[in-house]
Amino acid sequence: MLIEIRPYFVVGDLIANSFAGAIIGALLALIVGPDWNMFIAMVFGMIFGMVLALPLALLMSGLFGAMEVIVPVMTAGMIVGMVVPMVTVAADYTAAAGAWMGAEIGIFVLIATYAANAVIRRRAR
Amino acid sequence: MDVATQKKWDRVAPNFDLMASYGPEKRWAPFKQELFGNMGHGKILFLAVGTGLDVQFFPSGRSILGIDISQKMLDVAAERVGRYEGALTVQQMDVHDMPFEDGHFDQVFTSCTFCSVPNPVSGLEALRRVLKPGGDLYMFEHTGSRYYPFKLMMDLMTPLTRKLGPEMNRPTVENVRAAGYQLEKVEHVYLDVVKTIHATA
Repeated sequence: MLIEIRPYFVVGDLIANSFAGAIIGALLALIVGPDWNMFIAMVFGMIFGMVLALPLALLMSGLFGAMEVIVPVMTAGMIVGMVVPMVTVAADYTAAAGAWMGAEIGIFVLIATYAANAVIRRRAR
Repeated sequence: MDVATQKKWDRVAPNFDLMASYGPEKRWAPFKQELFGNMGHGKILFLAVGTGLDVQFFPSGRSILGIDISQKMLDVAAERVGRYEGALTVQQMDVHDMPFEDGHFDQVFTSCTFCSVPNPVSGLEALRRVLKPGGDLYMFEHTGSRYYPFKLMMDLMTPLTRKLGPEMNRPTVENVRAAGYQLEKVEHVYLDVVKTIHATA
């Protein structure tokens, strides 16, 4: 199989990415305000997102897998960390809105990672 | 003995299985069973046997020496080692200080090891010394990625993950070549990050 199809792990990946994205998005929406410089908010969010994603990924990797959880969760943390602060500066997002956007980005990153996994593994054959 | 590395893994040992046992082992089980199915009936060295999580995937009846730099990891492994149906012994040892004569082993296996060995190329060279000429090196390893955004994330996070244990961006396939092995086969298990490697000395 080129991509993961075992239901336990597919559901686990969805939980891990949406949960981590939501937590990181909510916290960044609370921390960053409309008075922040957008570039500084993006860089801060990227670092904050990645660093916070590490313990979240480690927490969930015990249940759902190691690098298969750590890579997408930390990539999602990086991207959520860049996008949510920029949107918050522009539109003054609430924590709930930040959490929702973070969860959506987390799932998007997961789907993109599944696609990348299939392409990379097919090429390597 | 690399005392700093030994102390790092001694600290991790009591809680290692909490993070590494259920999800990762269940997810990687088909790939590890296939890789360790290559264990033959000669002398086998298993580097960094850790808490013995991989023992469940070893084919029975083999003659295997497992080594690890951390005695505390081996203490946790004792029960799993005892359950193996074959000749499996474990010893605390640093890969850089192995007392075996040249060409002592027919095969060497590693599992998620060379993300953490401080000097990977010299560690691989040490393994090549104890392998018979033409002997097999089989590895299950995670490495860095050459694809963005994974590469960026792994490069940025490695200084932090190094303090906890493994590095995320090791070029292990290139390290195997640099240590003088003939690369036989590389199979990707997940992205270009988790892979199995077969090389010969």
